[in-house]
Amino acid sequence: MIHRVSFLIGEAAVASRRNLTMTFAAITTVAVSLFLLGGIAYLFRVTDQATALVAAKFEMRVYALAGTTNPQISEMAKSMRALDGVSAVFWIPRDKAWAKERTKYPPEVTENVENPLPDAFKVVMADLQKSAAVAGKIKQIPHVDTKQGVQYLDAEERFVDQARTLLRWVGTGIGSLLLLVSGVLIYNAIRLSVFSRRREARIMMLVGASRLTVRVPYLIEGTAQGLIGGLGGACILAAAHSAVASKMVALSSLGRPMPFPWTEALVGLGLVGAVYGLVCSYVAILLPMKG
Amino acid sequence: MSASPFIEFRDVSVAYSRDVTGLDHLSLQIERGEFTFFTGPTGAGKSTLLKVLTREVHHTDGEVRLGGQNLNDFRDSNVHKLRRQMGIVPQNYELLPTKRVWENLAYALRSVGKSRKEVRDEVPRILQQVNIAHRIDAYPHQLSGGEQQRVVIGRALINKPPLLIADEPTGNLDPSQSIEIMELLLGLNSEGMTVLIASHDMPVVERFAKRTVRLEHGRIVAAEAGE
Repeated sequence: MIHRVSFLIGEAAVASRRNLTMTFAAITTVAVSLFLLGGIAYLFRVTDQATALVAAKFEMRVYALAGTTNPQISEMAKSMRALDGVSAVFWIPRDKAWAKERTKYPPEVTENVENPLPDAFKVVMADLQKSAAVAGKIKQIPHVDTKQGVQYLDAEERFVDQARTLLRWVGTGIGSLLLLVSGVLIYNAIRLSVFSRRREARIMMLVGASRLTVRVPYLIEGTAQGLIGGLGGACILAAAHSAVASKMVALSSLGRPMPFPWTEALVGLGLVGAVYGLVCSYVAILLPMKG
Repeated sequence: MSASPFIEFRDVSVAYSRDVTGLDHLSLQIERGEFTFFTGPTGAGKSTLLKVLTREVHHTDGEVRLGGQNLNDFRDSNVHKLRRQMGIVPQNYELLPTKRVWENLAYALRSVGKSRKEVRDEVPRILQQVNIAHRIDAYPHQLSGGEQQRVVIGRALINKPPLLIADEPTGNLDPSQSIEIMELLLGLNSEGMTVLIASHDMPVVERFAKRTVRLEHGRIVAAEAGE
């Protein structure tokens, strides 16, 4: 068995060496396309985690109508805490808020001014994506100022969401296109191998080598190209992650970036590349190896 | 009750297209250990007949049997089992130019699943059998036509087949080399191997006076028993 496997692998290696340029082109294109597709998947994972992390930093301000009593304030807070997507609710009494506000100005400016601030709440979100729904429900709570009583970073959240959608479409589009190109390159590389090794194939068929023995070297070649390309893509992704992570540490207040998932990247992209290479090489040998 | 012939063509036809016929309702029997020449002009059907036996060409009508087995029973995925029952010498040598003589044989042996040790044992024995052991390290381009043909015949013997099929084995050789190759094939035949040869080299065919089947337009037009 071992001698058989070594023969088949040897044949695949010979075939790859004969078309080195095409083999190189196929591997690098698989690497770049899987880097893009893997990178998009990774970015989505990172942004999901980052969104969850920063959710706590996004606050929603809720203002009560003038004249709301303390029991009514308590009831409002209770209603808000019960909403799905809300992490915590803090009451900001209008007197405390005014006292804090006055410290920002010279005493003579605010000396005879009546407290213009309403009672307010700081609402901390657990899930940013639910902000709009939570805001809508809060507006229905009695004694909430429905005109400007609920303020949150709606525009920023929408921007993040739109950016993610754009990233998904552009990244998937370019990645898929490159994956298609790499598939064509693997297909061509294998077809060239079949052509360059037609004499070997003919000899194998003449002496009674099984169909599998004749075909498997090409499948190994295509699978190896996909696998190496996938592993290369994982390495490029790791390098990109390392570069971006160092910038994030320097610029961001979001904390340390998550570590690069080496095992998942190598196994995942390697596997995808290998399967893709196998499929492309199988398609490539179907016609010329018929019979 | 007579035993069935080793090879039997029963009303076999091969149609390449509606207008082009390879074999036309051909019937033929060949006994085990026979030496048979197939002659005829180009396009007569000699190569087609041999290729039907090797399953490089599918017959479109009739029945072909080898050793009692109907060739139609071999599915495409199992044709290698049929080909291991025969040695095939193709019209062009089909040697690997970048491999030495022993490597050419080793390659064929490895491709049918022999281990390195089996290859080490088999290669010298086969090269001895076809009298080319002294050129074991030569590359094909360093060999004469006759020597190359010996290597090709040696390669055809790797499965120790009972049948050898050769398509124009002397086609590219000068007369003296042709005779050497024919003597080698006769030697294999004398050891019990059935040998089928397609040839238009009439001096060689006449010199060795074996059973000769003449084909024209895919039909047998004459047959002579050998001496």
